[in-house]
Amino acid sequence: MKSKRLKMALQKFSEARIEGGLEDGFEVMNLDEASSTRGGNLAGCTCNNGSNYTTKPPDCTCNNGSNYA
Amino acid sequence: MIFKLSKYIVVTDVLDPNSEKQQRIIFSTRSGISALIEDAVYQKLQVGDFTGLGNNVLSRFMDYEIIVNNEEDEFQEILKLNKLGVKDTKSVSMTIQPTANCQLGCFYCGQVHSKQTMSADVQEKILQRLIYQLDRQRDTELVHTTWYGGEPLMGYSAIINLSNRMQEIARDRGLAYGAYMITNGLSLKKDIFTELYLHHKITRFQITIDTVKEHHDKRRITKKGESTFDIIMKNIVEICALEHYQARVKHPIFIRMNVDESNYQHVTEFIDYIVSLGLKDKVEMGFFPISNWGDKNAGDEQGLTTNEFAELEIEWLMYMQEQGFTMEYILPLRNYDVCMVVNEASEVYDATGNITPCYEFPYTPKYEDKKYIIGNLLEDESTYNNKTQVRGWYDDLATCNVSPKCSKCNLFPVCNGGCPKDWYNGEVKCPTVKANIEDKLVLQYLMDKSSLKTLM
Amino acid sequence: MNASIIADYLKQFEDYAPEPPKEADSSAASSNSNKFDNGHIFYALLEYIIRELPEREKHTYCYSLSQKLLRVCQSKERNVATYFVNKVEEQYALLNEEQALEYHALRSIFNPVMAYYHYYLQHDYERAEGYMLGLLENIDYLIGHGFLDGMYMKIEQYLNTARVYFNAGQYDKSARYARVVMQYLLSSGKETFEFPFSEVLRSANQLNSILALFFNGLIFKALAKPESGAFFRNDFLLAVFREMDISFNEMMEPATRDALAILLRISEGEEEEGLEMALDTQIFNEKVPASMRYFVLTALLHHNNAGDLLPEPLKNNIRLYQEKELGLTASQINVLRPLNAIV
Repeated sequence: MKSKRLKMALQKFSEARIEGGLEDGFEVMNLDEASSTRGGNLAGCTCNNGSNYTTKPPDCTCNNGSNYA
Repeated sequence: MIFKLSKYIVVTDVLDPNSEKQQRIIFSTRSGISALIEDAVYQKLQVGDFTGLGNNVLSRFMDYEIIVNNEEDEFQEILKLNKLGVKDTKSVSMTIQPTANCQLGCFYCGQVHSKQTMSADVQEKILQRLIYQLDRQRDTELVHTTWYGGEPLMGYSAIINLSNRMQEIARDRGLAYGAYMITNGLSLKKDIFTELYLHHKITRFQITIDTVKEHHDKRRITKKGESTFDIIMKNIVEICALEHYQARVKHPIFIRMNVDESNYQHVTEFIDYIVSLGLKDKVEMGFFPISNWGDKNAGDEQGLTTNEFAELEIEWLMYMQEQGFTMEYILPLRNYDVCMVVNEASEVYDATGNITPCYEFPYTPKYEDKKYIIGNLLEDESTYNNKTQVRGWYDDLATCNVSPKCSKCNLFPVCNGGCPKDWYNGEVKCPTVKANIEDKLVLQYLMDKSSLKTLM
Repeated sequence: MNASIIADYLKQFEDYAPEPPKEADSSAASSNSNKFDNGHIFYALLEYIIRELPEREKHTYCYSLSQKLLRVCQSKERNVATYFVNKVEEQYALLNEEQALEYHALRSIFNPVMAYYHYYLQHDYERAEGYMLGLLENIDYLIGHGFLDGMYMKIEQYLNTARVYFNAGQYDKSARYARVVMQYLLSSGKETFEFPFSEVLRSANQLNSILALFFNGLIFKALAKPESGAFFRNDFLLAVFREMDISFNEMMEPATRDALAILLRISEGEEEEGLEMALDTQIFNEKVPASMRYFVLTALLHHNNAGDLLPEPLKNNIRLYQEKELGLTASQINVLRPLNAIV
């Protein structure tokens, strides 16, 4: 990081922040913006089948309805 | 099958080395996804050890192109996808220069202006060309025009005529229509704005103001040497006060600042000025480095270096945040097109009827050679050159004919080479994001996670 | 039936007001929700493969590929889709039928998306059909192997196959697939399937949510396409739903059963009887699939031009109900005449 001001802001933020781990060691920050230029939703689930499962794909945001019109 | 960590990622340093949770930001330029990642996970990715990753994480890393097939030549895959993706653009985009005239004589402008305005013949041919493009591109959903010049408002009647007709064509085919304008702002009186904004669907007016009055009036002057700052700012203030100003979009006016070594120190002063006028929620602002244009080498002569500009840009972005400007997203997006030059559904039409693939070519002596020009609307289509130099950008990259640096750059998928024209001209021109992407990642992170203002 | 009786009955819409938009329901995305949210089966299948077979990374890669293809198809990126189709075809070529579980599992992941690609982007119904029929074999193998949740894939593929045939104008074939799966879902038995649906079903809510999806998928489609039959006497719908000799599933919403009976009565030409039943039952509640409510509402409005008797505010409320409650878009309302002609 080159900007000193930014470094200080980050430090201040880190100090004030309540420590929290990341689920799975990973947390996506910009799904919406990244998806906007890629047509579809980059969220892991764009499902067209099945039911609710105890094992769900990551970041599922899907609604009811099939892909088949 | 064997898998590897993609080379198209950017990773920041550990954000807080004193914390127990050592976290970084990882940015996959192949997908445009940014994420927080624990350092321990990142270390594993680096050595290609994916065994400890949960099924969810593994699947997401593959989805976001962080973990990729080892057999892939990633650069070639990206190019393949880019070429296909460009064809999926669902719009026909026209840049129209209704006149070759402009009141201003900016020292860095590469155009040679003349009094020629667009004839009725050329206008008709543009409409025919639009229909040709729409017939060719069956998936089109949007017809988009960028009004450009010279100063486009000096060809006002052509704008109105073309706009009415193009909107009609779009309507008849059930397509959306939208437009932008790049103007010096001198003639953009509030009534003209209203007409163009409400009836001609121009929702973005890019007006260049080169920081404060003192500096703007040294460079963005009329051909007779008259100053323009006060007139332009008066127009902007009056337009922003209109009741319907934000009726269609939040920021119809975008103020562009061209920055070089002579005015960079006045950027924050100009931001303060905009705030003092009560415009911070009304206009969007952006900074651009002055670069070479045609035969004018202002970029070489007094431009800032990429590194200098990149560092300043972060400070300005933070300053704007501090002043209360709303900025939502500053990271580069994964795009399939580098710019209009690779998209055949995107053309520039100048007042003489010339068709070019890039808006820096018209009226610019350096680009008069036929390798830069697709053809002229008044000529038969059989004379058109569909293989102008810049249109072949992705093919040339694939065969390493141009810009070998790009194939080795981890930012390629979000940059795609920046400006093909520059590379063909032999200029090594990486965008400033190459020099400040890590800072931008951190800044975006702070913008998302906190009220940045309170941290400064 | 006298039009004024119907007009009186329709007064129930006088107080109709659309509900304010709900906050995003986080529970809907939670894994324990009972609502049928139409997905996740492929991910569940991936997890099943990972449990049963080595090469986790390869299988995850295949899953990820199918998701990418699905996404670009949904956003109609025709050319980009060919890129992923080629990648998927590379993986097909590597499959070995002798390694049966992997063969069928990966084909179960790829085939539906390939079918979708040919159906939705290429309008090549024959190729779509090929992938779908192949898929049904793959799913049967997986179910036989112990992946019982594959039944969710199977029912959806029956519906999708019916849709593909329908769009190809092959209404008989379409109705055959639709009938088989509807009989299965509505009944408490196993019908022609491997086991009763209740064995994998999570809850009554889930069943009714699935039924809504299937009923709406078939009924709206049929009503919008006059070639498949007249609006009120739709041959296709009759072929699907008429004379089902099954014991109905107890978990099925009683009002939905009523609505189905009314729909059949009207479709069979016994309009008076059907409408009398409608007046005696409570089918205008949110538990009844929107398409059925729409059908019966239309019949009521049309009967002896009852709709003409309604005061203007009530007509407006009914239009609002169509849009907000039944979820019809303006263009759907226009396509799905004749209600539009009245309200």
